[in-house]
Amino acid sequence: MSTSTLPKWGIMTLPVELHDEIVSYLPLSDQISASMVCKLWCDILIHNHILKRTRYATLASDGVIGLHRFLNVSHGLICSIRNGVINGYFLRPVRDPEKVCRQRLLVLVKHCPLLGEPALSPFDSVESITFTFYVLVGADRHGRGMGPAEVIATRNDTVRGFIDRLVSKTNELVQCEYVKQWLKDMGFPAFELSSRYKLILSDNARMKAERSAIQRGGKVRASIHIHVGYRRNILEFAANLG
Amino acid sequence: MSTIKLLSSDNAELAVDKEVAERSILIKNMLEDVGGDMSDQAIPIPNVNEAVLRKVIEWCEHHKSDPPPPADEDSDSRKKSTDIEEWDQKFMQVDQEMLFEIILAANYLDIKPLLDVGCKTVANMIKGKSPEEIRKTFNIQNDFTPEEEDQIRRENEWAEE
Repeated sequence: MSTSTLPKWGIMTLPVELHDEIVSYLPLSDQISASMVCKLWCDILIHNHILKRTRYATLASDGVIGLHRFLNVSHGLICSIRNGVINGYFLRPVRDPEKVCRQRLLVLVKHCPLLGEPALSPFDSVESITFTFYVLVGADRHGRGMGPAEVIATRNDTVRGFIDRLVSKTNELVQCEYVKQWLKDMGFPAFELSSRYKLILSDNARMKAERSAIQRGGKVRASIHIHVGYRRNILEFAANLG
Repeated sequence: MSTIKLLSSDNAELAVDKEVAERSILIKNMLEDVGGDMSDQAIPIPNVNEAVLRKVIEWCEHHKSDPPPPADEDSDSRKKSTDIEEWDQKFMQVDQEMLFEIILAANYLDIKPLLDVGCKTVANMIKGKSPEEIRKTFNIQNDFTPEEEDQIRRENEWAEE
């Protein structure tokens, strides 16, 4: 292996503290991209406490206070699920207002080291946050609601670990007898664990998972919508389904 | 108004208003240390060449009457804005080599507001890009393992459906 020659100029000639300074201007979505550029930036992002703090909601407008913003952000994390397990985490970066085309650029974040951070803020005293699910099966107006189911984020959870639990709970719900029977009654094809779906996290205290049945001959299409709220929003969701 | 002289790394002597030069905390402290009288002697700036030093002086000229930056407003939860005023944006429209030279010079000369503008400019160049695009923009070597890379590529194919 040849020793790599140091560049004479360029960003890598800057001392580490200036990299720190530069990276500290990045909003969350760009912090994710930056953490996957090179090991130096990855290191800075994980270990800089000021930056770490920006990844947790501290204001009500950011979502649930004390919760990692991956679990809060409005155009945040999308998990693609296949065979019941997450096979990719994606992030939709903030659209560039100058770009005319609304390209739906997805950035893969599966290897993003920030997913290994605690789900709940280490800078806050919050002990747990309860996520409440209601599952709505079928097309919007004709759907059947069920729930609530709960998944609790605790101090021991990493973001990745918590999302995994969220997904397994989702799998459980869509596989339940009630849903199976209803789909059968309605003439929809059954959901297979092998079908793909996406779990979309958003910050309006409502997360949405969409699961589409495999289309046969372009005819029948059923979907499952899973509404997820935080503890304090239970009533709102009950009302939505009422 | 008194004038002082700065000597760049490539031995160019540049005359600057003292007030302008004192935007640099390094130079300001130096002048205080020697009692302010440097009228006959050029101050060596060994880390900065003439082209960059001229650029830095241009910035200091424009910003000579700016109020001093508020004392350490570093708060942990502060969200940093990357807004840059128009003049500074134009000023920073230089090639990357010059951009990083200016940042290094601002750091060495201890001109915090110029350093901030430089870092913000770089941050704005990072924003909205994928990791690969960022690497390309700044010619950064990818030092993650090939296995990780391969995995990322395969998963990306999946995502684009």
